[in-house]
Amino acid sequence: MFKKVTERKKGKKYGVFKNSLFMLQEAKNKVPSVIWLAVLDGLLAVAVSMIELYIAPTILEKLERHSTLSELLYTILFFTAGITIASAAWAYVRINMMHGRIEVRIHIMNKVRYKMSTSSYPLRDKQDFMDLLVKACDTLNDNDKAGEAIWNTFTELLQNILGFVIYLYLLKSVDMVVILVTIATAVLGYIVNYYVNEWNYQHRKEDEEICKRVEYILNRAEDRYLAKDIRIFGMWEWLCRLQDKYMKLYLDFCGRREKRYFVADLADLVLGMLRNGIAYAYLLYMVLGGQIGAAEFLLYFTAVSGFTAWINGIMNGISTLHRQGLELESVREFLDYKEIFCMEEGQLLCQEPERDYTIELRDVTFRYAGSGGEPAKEVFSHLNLTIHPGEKLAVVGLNGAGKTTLVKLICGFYDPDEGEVLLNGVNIKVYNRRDYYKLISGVFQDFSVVAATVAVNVAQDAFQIDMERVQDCVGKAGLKKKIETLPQKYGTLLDRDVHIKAVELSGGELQRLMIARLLYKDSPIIVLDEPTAALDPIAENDIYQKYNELTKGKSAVFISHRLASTRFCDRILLIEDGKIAEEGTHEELLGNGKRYTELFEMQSRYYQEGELV
Amino acid sequence: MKENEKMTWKEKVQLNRRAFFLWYREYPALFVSTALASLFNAVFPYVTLYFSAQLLNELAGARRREVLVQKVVILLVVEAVVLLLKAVVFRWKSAISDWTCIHFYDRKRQFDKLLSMDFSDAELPGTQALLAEVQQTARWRNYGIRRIYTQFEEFLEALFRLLGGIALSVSLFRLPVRANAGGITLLNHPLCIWLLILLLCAVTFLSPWLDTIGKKCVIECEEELKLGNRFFVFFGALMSEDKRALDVRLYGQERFFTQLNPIEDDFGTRSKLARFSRERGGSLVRHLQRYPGSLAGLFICLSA
Repeated sequence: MFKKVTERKKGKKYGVFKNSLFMLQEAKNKVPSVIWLAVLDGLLAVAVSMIELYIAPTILEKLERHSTLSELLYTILFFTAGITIASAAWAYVRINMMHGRIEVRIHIMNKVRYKMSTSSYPLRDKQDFMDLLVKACDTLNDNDKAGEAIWNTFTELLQNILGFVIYLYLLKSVDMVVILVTIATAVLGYIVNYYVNEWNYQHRKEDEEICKRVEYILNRAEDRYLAKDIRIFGMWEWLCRLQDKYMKLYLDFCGRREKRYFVADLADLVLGMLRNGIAYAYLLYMVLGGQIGAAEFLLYFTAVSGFTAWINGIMNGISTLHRQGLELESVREFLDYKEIFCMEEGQLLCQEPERDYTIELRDVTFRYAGSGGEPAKEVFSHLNLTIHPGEKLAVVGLNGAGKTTLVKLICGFYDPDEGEVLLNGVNIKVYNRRDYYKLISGVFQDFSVVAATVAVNVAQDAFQIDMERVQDCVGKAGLKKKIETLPQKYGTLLDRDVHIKAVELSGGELQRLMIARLLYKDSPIIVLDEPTAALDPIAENDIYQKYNELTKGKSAVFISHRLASTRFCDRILLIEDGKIAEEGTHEELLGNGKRYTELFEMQSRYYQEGELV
Repeated sequence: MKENEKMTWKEKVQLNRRAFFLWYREYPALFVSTALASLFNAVFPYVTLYFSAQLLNELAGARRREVLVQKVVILLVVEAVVLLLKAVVFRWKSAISDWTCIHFYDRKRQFDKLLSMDFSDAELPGTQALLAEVQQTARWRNYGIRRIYTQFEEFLEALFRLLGGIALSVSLFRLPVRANAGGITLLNHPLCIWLLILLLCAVTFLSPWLDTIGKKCVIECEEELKLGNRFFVFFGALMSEDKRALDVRLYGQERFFTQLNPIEDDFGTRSKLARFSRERGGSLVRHLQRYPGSLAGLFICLSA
């Protein structure tokens, strides 16, 4: 059912080494202790392993040599103390490493989030950019993912290399054949495991795809928007059947995966038997020849097994580091993704209180890139529009006419393909885009309510809040009565998904909160893109009147599909087929008796008939 | 639901029992495979240890060629059988109980429950709040009802290891120290043997108890850590959701990543949890955890 998707190898910009250095650099800047704790972790692991290797053969040797009681006692005490202190210190280091690693991972995650939130808006339409974001988040959103797990790989590599060198030195007196067999079995075992892991890696898209489907079906039960439909249309059984089907697919995938791992287990078993058989044969030969005693037999045999583990550890470590390096590649590519707008650089644009701002769209042509091989869709062709200081402009039109796109062009979220958007005669492309955004306040169809207090949501800042202004703006927005009845008043938390004791405001109350936010920002240009679409016409009219009163002296663009709501505006534009079809005041447009009149009458008739019914 | 600290032990046991049977009725194979895997994991090291000890005994003693060869062959065959059995059971277990499977099984239960509810019941704020709490607990360190499965696994492994240890230790008590061993013969005294048994029992209970103390801080900080987790999800949405994208840019909401972010404070090096790990939770508990085991080892070595 699912296509077996395999990862294609492509040229990498940074590579594993540079990505490892990147992690070390991030740790050095944020929590340097992460680096030396990783080294200490590796050293202690080797120390514990060495004590464990020597403890039994040494005591056995003492017993064989009939050493004195005190000698035996001191040896036992020495090893007991050694293993206790070393393993306790190791455990202590391990438990303390975790927090530093989390901090480094969160620090990088914050960089990714900052980049995403401040990136040029059109990048959101770019599939490669969004794919990189998903991959970067996937690399950083868990303790087990490359963004944090790479520290374990560093530690394990260090530990395995050190262990390998020490054990190699120990085994120098053992026949070369035994060492070669040990290395050969370890390498063979690694190759088998590599192919099995590779199968897993190559099929991870299939795994992800099935998991996504199971999650999707499971999420339907919690989707409050679907709750009614599921019950009215009796979709429960169908959803259950789908869930069972995808769950079965997932279990089938797990079964196939484990069968492959079982083959690797069998290979490990056979190779282990071969290695142990040869080691036993060689060491028994040495013992029977009187060249070594029982203690050395035990020491060498344990060393041979340990040696295999170190070799496996090194090869697995390199393979894991390679994979984690590739995963980190997406983080770095995302962070270094080229911006389209001047987000960090560009000419500074300071807001001056008494200054008038004119926005002009000159000969603007704009098209959305086609998706899936479709041709690009032209929204505007050679559009000209000027918004004068203090003007109230309404943009009306049918769905899909391009009203929201026009707002996005005015706000500087998109740049036109042809023509230019000018601020007081200067192309906005030359300015720092974030400075430009400071000139504009807006309320759109969807809001971003922050999981913080009412005051923070109004001020849009958690550190610098002018409480008097917050109260004033909340009052002007008509929300004061509601807020002051709440126990925590302006300190009331919003967003119940984050704060369990948060208050949930109704749609209308949220609208008013957004008005308060807009007033607090006090920008010279205001944009309202159908923020009241979900409200009834009377409530919408009330809110628009409120906006009208509160934004006196500022340039404002109002967008609505209800023509009556915006009739107070100085100028109304009717957008149709990517052009300004009609332009004028409400009365002028009605007087023309054209499309605007037709639409207005149609809507009026609907409401009048509605009232009669 | 009652608060945890107000619950009696009886209630806690009943709740766990209910959770166990809820899982067991739905996925019996999960428990059978886990029980077998735990048994093999715990007992098999003792099996190979026993045969290795036999070989070492011969090596340290008579060193008869035929006996040594025979013992090596037996050891190799036993190891092979043991590894094969372990692999079969472990792969069976992994095929039905990897983390994602457990997560799906757990959510399937919520899925069935929600869909079987009337619209009005499902929409009740209480239901939604309870569901959010259940999911939050599950997300946070995999606690919640799915924990019963991991507890079952850990409990069985500990139990089998204990039984294996007892079985192997019997010979230690049955073989007295030789009479010419000087002061060490004191270990033959019944009081010493009882002391050793007592010590072994203490080790059995002390280590997990100290481990619990070590983890106590995690439970103490649970609310802060859960809040940190919720913020982590919230910031993910703030960054990526389409519906927030315009507001985020126009109002510079990226500032909240640094202003409101409690995640580093809750999980990082300055967190309460990190302080606890550095101080009493780390140094004391981690060391203490290892001393009883080492003391027991010392007694055994002396006795040997």
